[in-house]
Amino acid sequence: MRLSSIAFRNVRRHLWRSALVFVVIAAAVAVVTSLYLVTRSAERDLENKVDEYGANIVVVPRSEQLPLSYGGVQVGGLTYDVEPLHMSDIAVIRGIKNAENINLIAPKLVESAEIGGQRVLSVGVDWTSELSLKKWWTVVGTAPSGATDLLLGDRAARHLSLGPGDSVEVRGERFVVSGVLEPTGTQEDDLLFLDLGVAQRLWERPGEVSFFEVSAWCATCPIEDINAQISAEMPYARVSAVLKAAESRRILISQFRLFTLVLSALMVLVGCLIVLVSTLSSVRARRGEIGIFRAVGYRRQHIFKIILLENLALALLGGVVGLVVAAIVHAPMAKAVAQVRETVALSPGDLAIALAASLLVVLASSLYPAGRAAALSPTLAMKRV
Amino acid sequence: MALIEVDGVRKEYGDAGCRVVALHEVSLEVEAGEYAAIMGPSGSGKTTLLSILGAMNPPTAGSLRIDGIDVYDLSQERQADLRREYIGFVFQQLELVPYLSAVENVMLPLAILKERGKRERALEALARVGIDEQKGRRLPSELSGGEQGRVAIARAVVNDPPIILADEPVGSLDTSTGRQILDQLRALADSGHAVVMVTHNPDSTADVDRVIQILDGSVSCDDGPKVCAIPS
Repeated sequence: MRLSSIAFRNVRRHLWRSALVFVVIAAAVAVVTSLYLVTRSAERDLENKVDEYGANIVVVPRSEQLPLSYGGVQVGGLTYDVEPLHMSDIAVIRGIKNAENINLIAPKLVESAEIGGQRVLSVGVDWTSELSLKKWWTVVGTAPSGATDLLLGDRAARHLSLGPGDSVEVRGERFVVSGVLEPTGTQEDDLLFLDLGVAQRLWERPGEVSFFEVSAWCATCPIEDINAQISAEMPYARVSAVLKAAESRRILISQFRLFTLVLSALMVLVGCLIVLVSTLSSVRARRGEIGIFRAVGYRRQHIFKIILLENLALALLGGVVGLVVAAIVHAPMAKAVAQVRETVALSPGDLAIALAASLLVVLASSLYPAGRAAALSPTLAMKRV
Repeated sequence: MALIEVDGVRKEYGDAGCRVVALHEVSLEVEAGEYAAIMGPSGSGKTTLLSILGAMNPPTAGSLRIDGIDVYDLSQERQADLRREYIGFVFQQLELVPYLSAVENVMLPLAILKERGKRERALEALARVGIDEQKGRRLPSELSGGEQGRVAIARAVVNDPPIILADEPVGSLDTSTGRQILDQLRALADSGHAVVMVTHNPDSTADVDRVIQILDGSVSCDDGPKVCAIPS
């Protein structure tokens, strides 16, 4: 028989008290771990779906502008010292410290085109990145993919009287309207989209880019950090963060994270108090028994160990059960609370940290009662002293 | 040199506002192999004296030496070690731990030791008081009063301590069971242990070598059972 045998027997003997401590620990571990996993799932989901929220950074050439007015009448402005952007800047953006957080880079070349005597703003785009970025686009016809494909905004198509399958000439070259966008309610309704390489050739601006739309996400750093890193690498460009749906969701997740932290702290605090009070009451009820242990030669440290071992055994058991519960409930919880599609699984590291944390918390809340027990006098074994 | 030497022990309880003197200048010696009974009416200080002899309750003044060691000069942890090495206790109502089997109760003083054969030593101690291995596996509640008493004695002697202290060991037992316990204590004294028993029952002192009568915290008589006997 060892001290642990005495501790484990006591756990079995005081079933109600043990059950209370066990349930409290299991519930605390389950709730805290589930909330943590839900938050992590929401963040991961946001990282995975960030392209659905569109670009959140726009990179344009840095320029100096001089507003002109004459006699109080605005007569336009003058833009000068414009250094155009190039396709090679994609590599520059991909080279920043948080490069792994760059989801998509969509370069664009904006020019004015004339079709059938009508002027229309044309945008050369990389079909793949553009269609990935604009998840909200609905194309009537076929999604463009080739060098001779054109995509028209809803108002542009009506203005030019063109529809899917129509053939049209732009700067002397023939193109086919592969699709027309359903109305988006934005300026995109007035645009004509064509392949970026073709646009660079037609307007004799090889490799040039008017601006980049960048979709980036970083769960642990604000988008402003990525913004600043791109600015530092491209001093000739102006980098602007765009507060869009992703940012709104990030703020929502941050608030949820704060809420889960507060709730977790409360759960841990309540758990600690319950462990503390129930252990104190258990020590009070076992004063005579502890007196016997002390009388037969147990040092204070032995009593201390017995009390701690009892609670640590319950913490281990409660921690394991709490983790199993968290592993089962966190996925439906994340889907219901945060509308995430894919949830984060418990990693071995998470398991180890959760168990270690539950042991540490229970250890901390058991120290005082264990100390009180260890300080009891052996004379308690002799009822009349 | 006596095994137990009590010199000028005084014990006070309470604070300056309400001070109770439980023992006044008590001095006595107990030799190995001696069977002594501490007797006295309730509140006379006999249990306080036993707790001081048991290295559990430091006196306000005076000293206790066991085997020449000044007990209350030791740290509390060393006092615990000394209790384990030198003293076996038989408590009032026997005080077996109810959730441990008989053999585990006997192993209680050994549980903190890092040595092999603890169970065998406990079974041996039980066998010496007539409890077999099968009964040793039972919980105290599954044993008769006499068997529980013998388990309590086995627990007191499992470490082979030179001193056995018994606090009203038969107070709550029926006559027959009480007799068995007293016989065991006598046998322990005969085998060389110093046995000190607190009792208020004169019938329990029939076999003792010596009666120490305590009255109002002082030794009023310290002689053979016939000299210091109190009519029952």
